[in-house]
Amino acid sequence: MGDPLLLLIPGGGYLAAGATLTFRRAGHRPALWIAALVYASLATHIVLLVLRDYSEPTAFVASFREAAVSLSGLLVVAYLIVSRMLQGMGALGLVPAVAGLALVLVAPSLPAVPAPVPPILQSAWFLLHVPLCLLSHLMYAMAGCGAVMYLVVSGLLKARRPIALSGGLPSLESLDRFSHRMAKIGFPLLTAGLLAGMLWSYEVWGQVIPEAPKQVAAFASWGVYAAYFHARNARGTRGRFCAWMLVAGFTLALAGLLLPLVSGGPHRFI
Amino acid sequence: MILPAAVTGVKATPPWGDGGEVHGQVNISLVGVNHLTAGVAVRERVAIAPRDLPSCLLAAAACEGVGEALLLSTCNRSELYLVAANGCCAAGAAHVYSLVHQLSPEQLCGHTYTLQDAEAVAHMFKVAAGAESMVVGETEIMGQLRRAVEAARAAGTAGRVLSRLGDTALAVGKRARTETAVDRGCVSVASVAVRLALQVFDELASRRVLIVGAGELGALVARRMVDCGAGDVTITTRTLSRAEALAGDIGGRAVPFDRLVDELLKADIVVTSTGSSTPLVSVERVEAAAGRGRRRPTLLIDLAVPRDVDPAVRAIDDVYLYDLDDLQRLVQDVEGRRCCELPLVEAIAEEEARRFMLWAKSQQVTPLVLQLRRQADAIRAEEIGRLLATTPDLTGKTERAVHLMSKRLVRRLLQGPLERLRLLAAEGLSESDLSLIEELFTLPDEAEEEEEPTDG
Repeated sequence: MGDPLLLLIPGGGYLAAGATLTFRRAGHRPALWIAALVYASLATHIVLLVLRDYSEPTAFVASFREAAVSLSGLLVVAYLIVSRMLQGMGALGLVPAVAGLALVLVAPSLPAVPAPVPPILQSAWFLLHVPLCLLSHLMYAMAGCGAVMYLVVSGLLKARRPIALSGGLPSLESLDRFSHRMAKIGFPLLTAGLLAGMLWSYEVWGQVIPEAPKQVAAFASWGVYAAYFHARNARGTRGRFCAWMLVAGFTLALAGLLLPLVSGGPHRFI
Repeated sequence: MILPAAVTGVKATPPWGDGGEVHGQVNISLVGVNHLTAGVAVRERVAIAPRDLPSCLLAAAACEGVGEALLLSTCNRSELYLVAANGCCAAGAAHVYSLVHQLSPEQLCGHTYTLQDAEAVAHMFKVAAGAESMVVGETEIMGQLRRAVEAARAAGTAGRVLSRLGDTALAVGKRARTETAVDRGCVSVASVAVRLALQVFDELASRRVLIVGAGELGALVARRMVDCGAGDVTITTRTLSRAEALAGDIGGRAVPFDRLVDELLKADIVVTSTGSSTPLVSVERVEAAAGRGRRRPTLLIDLAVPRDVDPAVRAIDDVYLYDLDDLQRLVQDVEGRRCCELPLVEAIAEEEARRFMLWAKSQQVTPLVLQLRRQADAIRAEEIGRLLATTPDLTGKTERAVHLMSKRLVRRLLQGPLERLRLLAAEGLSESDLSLIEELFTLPDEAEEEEEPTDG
């Protein structure tokens, strides 16, 4: 499934659907073909995922390209679930667009063949640490998309641009609530995932927190999210500040995923 | 006042019959006055109250040569649609119009427009789509048109053609609004203000709205906010009694003016419209509100000239400030965007009008077509009967085959000529052409026909 050309099929579909959703004409409901395109792309995406090599069950963590492909697929699934649950958020076309970008641009530039899968991955902790962290990152990706949309819409409103009222954009409050919900789901998952990682790391390396850039970024992102919840709950802060915090938090989380590519340390997989 | 015969009841049954039939060529005429062609002085004279509509319709239909009539009268237009038999020209229709409104043709001279056939039909479609309205794309016209069609039907003056025209126009109006953005957006300062509030907040019910000053525009916006669900409205003016009056009117809470600062701290949406010559809402006041751990989006709508809110407030994060000019720019933008859709709407109206005219024109040959079919079928039945009488030993299977063959034969023989007849009719057939066709097929006199087609 590592062939970048094959990834273009679902990736292009997501990009087209996401861009149409984001820039669709004022006041027009999303057309049926957009939903059809997302589902069709997801179907080819799943086919690509199913056709993977099963000889190394943990390879989707060890190979960065496989990780990008699986994560973007999960992101679209999460988007579809969420857009069904939250009315009016189906318009958040940024999410499938981001998944499309991950497939078309990011995945092909990541190394495809894993270094020999590290033996430490053969552990029961894998089943706890990896799903928890991946799920939390998905939620943060959604929260980040919502926050970026918040910044865009509020920027348009502040500049008094008529397009802000054209009817296609969600309201600031609903974007804020969407991001908050996603972050609220992601935060306990991240906390539990990091705890599991710490215990695993203690068991394998005898260290609770290995001193590697990846871990620093992961804990920094946890700190940013904690600060976000503190600002919201204790100080009642809303608005652009919260949106910037979510963007920063997700950037750190993403950096945590990708840093092992360039840095050393024992955690040399995603 | 001389009442036309139909109103006085001299003619019990209208001359056009129950179905409002017009035989021969169908002519659709439109005579009308609207806000572009006439000032309010003329428009108020041609406006027809709903209760006078039936008598006016009957008066129009009682005129010489008129088969069907439909009157659309709103505050911006009064249009009379007529279906007339051959020869009813524009001048005749204008005459009927002045008669219906009991005005002399001179009084209306220069104010009316007259359209014929496809143009008249396209005009009605455009009216239904709101393309002819003062506020482009408004939807009220659909209801007015529906009532006009119903009134004409109730009065019996809308026959097959105008009934169908009215229904088609309503469908076209709907189609234009679905397929184009002609009715999107909002077009008054008050509705733009509410739209802004709803772009920042999900709903208004749980938001604190503060109205400062009871200016006319401010009151209008406040009322619209309440209409759109605002539940917590606070009003403050320099003279408390005016605040209380407005609060009582729209259902809000009046507070003394010296509590302005406290209320500013709590408000999510602030609408100002005072006559103050210096800004009431300064950067310091808004920052003080923001500083108390209250960083959250605030919408400030300043309707006052000179302005009540210091424009420098805009620099504060999460504060969205719109003054009267901004709102008016947004209103114009909506209008402009709606007007951009007009070519699309017109294309739809013209396409539908072409389709309607094909139908209308083919109406004149519908009786002829039915008659031809009936005649051919009678001949077929006769011949089959003769065959069965002379050849009694036919098996059931052969009999069925013969039946089928004869039906196919008739259908195929008639198919070509009838299709061409409809096409010719769409281009227009004169009375003499029609009689020539009847002569050619030696059709019996139409008067003998009992059954009439219900629809094409």
